[in-house]
Amino acid sequence: MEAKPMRDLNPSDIDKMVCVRGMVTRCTTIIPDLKLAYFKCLMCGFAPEHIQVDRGRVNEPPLKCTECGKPGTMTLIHNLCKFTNKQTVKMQETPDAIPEGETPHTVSMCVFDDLVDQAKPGDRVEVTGVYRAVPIRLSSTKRTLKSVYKTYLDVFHIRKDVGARMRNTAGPEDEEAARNSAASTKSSGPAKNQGPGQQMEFTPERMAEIEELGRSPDIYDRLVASLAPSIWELEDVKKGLLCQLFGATNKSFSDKAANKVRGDINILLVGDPGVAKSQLLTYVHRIAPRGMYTSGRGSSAVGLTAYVTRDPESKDMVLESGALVLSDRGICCIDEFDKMSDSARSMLHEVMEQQTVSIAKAGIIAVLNARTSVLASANPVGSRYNPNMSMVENIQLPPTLLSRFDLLYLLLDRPNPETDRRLARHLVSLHYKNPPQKKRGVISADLLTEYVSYARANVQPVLSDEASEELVEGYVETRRMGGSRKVITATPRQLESLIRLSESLARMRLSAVVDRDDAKEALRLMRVAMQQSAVDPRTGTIDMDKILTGRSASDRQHRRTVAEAIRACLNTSGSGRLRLGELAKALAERDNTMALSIQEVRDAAMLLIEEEKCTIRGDLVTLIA
Amino acid sequence: MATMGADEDIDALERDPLGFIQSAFHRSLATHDGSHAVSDGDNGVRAIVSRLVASGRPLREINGAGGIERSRENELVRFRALVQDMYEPEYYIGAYVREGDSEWTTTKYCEHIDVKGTIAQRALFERRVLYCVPVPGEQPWVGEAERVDETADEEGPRGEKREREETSMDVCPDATPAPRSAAMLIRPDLERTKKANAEDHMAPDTPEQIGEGEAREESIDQLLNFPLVPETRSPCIVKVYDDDDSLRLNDVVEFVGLLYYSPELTAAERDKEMKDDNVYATSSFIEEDNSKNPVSSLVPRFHALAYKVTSQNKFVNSSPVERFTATDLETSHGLTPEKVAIARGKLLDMIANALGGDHFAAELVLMALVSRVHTRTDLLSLGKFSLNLTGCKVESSEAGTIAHVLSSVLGLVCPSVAHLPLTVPSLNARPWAPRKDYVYNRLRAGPLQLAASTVLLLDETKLDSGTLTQIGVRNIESLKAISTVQDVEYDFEYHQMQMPVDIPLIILSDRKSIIPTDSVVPLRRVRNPKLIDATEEELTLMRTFIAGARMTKHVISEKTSVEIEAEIVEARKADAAITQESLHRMLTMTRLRALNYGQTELTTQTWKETMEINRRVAERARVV
Repeated sequence: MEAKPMRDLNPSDIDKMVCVRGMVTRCTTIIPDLKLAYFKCLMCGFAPEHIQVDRGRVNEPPLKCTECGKPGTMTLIHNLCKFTNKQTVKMQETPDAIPEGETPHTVSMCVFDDLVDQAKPGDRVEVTGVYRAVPIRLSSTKRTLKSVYKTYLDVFHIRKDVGARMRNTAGPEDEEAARNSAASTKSSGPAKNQGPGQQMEFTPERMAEIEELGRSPDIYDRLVASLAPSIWELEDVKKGLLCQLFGATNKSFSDKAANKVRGDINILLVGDPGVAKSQLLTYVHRIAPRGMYTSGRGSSAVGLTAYVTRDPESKDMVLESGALVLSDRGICCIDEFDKMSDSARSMLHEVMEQQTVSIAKAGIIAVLNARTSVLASANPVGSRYNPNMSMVENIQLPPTLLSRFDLLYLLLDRPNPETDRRLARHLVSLHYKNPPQKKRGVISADLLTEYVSYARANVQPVLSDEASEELVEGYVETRRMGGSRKVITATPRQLESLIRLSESLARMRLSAVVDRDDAKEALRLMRVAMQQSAVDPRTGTIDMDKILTGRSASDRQHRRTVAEAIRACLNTSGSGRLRLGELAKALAERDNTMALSIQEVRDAAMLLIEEEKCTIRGDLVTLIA
Repeated sequence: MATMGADEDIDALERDPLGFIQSAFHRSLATHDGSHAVSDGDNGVRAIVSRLVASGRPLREINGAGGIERSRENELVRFRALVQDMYEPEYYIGAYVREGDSEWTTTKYCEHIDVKGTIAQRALFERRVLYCVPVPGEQPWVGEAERVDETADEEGPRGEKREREETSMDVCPDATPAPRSAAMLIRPDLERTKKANAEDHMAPDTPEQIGEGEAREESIDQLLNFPLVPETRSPCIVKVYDDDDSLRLNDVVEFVGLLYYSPELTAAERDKEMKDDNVYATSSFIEEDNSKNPVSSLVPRFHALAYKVTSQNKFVNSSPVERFTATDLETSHGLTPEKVAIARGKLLDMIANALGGDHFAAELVLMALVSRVHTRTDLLSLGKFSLNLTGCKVESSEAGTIAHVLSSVLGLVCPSVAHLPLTVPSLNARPWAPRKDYVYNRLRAGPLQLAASTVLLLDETKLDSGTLTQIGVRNIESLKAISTVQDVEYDFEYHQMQMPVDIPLIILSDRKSIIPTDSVVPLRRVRNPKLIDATEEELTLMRTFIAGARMTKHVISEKTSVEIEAEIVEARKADAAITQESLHRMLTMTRLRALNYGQTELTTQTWKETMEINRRVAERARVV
């Protein structure tokens, strides 16, 4: 039966069977409800059969005894009557069904017997029942009718909605996982924008609309235009965010090593203050069918993963899920990533590659699924990006963590007359042209959410041969770029990212096959993101080592020459031992380009120590003969 | 309906609303005779009411002190209020046929029906129920001018009117409410009633009540559910009859309709009645039923024949006729430039005196006063301007603190002002944002449930160090949201709901406020704050000026737009730290400054002046 919006119930539905969806807000205690009444005559002791009670009224009021004929002698014998369990439940519209600017409607429901206690406050349910209306009499003695009716539902079926609004990328796998995890975790209430459940199918019209949208040739551009339309430009970043929203397919190799490859795309936005990073995050959080939004400053490691508490009711130890676990199969947006404590950040290593959270505390050992995409934003050290330093130096995040982000975007706020003019026009029009003119073909936020859900649930793109060829070629190409200078410009991780990106691009078109264009676009997106982040400011070339180790190849080269110079200094010093301060002085004398700080000298000396060519004790460097 | 003489209809409606409704109902029945029995149509009543209002006939307004007590039975009255909560739609017998009768009788717009005999046939209709409170923080002078007219008018035709009323009884004997001894109702002092009822409520006087145990009683404040306390005016439960969905939570609405309230019915009596109707389905949620059906002496019922969503500014600068006929919310004040200059000058003088003689700060306060969110995109609220004045701590002064003086000045010129002290105890005391109370199934009002254009004055000077509880932290978050995006998050326990608001925010603090604002201006006081007087004409002029400036539609020409774009590019070149946010703020300030001078079009000159203001603000911030 088609579920009806609660708002659309009207007098014509009275005494008809209806199906409504909502969220339970209140339950009464169980009330014994008289079903069969047992009467006995006080005079002669005659007792007729149990009499049916319908909605609180006895059908045949036994005014007088049928045996002895005396009026008013029939008495109700309570303990011989038959009762059923009854409970009154209040249900409220689900948040997504409430029109803007209105309060949610509620409906009362009467549930009996086995349905009692089926639904608890907070549950999202779909109930089927008969819509009833009973009059309220202002007073039984007055004839004045207040003429108002109370309505309620006589429920005969309750279906609980489980799961979230996000359609799953891997249905069967997830169901299995749900079974496993349901046993071990107790989620701390529904996630904020968790919808009415995966059982909810799209209506045929909506499906047609979505598929129609998917067929339009300019869908990619329209999607980009629809994502955060008020945020100005940043087209490539938006494209990256779209890829993240759509996600790639999860691959698992179940037969041999039970290995899984994540399909979730992680993105890091780094940039100057005031470039709408947070706005982008909020927007993605709003669009994402499922997701959590946290701020790094206020998040602790346990808040992100899971923590053990004592349940106030049962006094048992329970595992409460944190943000990352709650956004399983969704997007976890973490603002102020740089301000997060190191311990909290280290939790992310596992999540971002293994997609699980392992917990071992208070006697509970569990591995929770956290198949979430991470969208993080960070400010550069010293709040403004220093173009003379590399990305890694600017954000001071551990390279191990950085390498787990598929795309790194730098959002820089550099004054530039051309873009400034466009920005100015945009701002002025926003303030004065009413309403702000929308780009053609913009998709509404609701439809976008549904489109994403639909694509994630129904489209599982596969790489075509030509696409894989393109990707392999592109990968080899990027790897070769650094070949001559012995720098690594691409790692296998990048190849995986490329596959993910191209798959999600195919998904945007609702296409089951990843074609050459998707692969090309994926390569382009990757290159744009890399260009911004992995470029070595000294040489202007892409160097993945910058992200992987935090040092660029040219850095390492420089260190090597310094080390050699140190060795030469020590050799010439006679005793073979020099203090760091003396070394620095000596180096500067040898070659005036080598005016280095003591720290840098120590760094370079460490290289020699690694090679066991000298030792260091305190600040005294000794050459090993 | 067009065939009927319009004036005739209007007269009939004014003379005897219920009788007119009944005959309109019969007329519409006759037109589609037999096709379908009865429909929940409007029978053309709303149109006639709108025409009645548009014709300029005075209708009594029940907002003022004693307005409710003075209203007569079966009289069309006006009521302006804020939609505080929306209850469930109500099903009621909208029309019935008596046993032995063949005519349908409608009960629309009636609180009770008194049927002689039994009902043979009935039709169930639906109506919406709204809980409306007087606009929070509304100043007593709002609507005063219109009230004065009425009292003058009252003297003459009163006797005549009452006669008409009596004769009207014959027209629809069934539809008239339960007869009361006097046509003119004497309403006991609300305060007294409240107190009496409060006592009533507090004491669980009947043993049954104790036995039930669960039935928690609401306090009187909770029952009345005002966003801002104390409040002496009365809320109303408004019943709306058409299925137009245009009404929103927190809308300021002007209703025209019929008022029902019976002062004699006390809570005890009500409770007894509630017990009588041992209704099968309702008995489970006693708290909610009690809470939603308070005695009508406390919360009168209002049956709306027509209504119009409006803005409180409109009660200052337009007549009732204009309010009902104008379709666009944006208007202009229509003041001549000279008048604007007078109003502005006087206003600046008053504000500057309240601020201890700082004219520059007064200029910025004035900008905040006329701000209004004019465009909302998905993440931005354009047009808002929140202001933080620092250095407002005054040790002693005969006129009181700056906050007090400023709030009385603002109260004289702005239709509504909410003055809230920001202290640790007040923040921890209760949630400021509205939240859903599922026990009573009502939306508990908080001081941040304010109508659009209500000036929120926060006094942070008394803020001491202390620990904020979870409630306090949430309140601060709510205030931050108001200041930055003009949104208030309503707590529905299981989910949150974002409600767009439009509340100009002014924060008075000693140091920089804990709440981020668009502009922070250190105050330069030269003397103690003082309140200076203004004549009645000056006040009227200033009120019109502010209300008009707020609602003015502001435009930009193509030429200026290009010039300002160039200016922005220049500014960015000069200072790379200028972000999009600061540009938004500057554009908003330019707009407000232009409105301040009564201009409707933006000029490059104003832009330059605004940049200068910004520079001076920055300079002050550096020096202090």
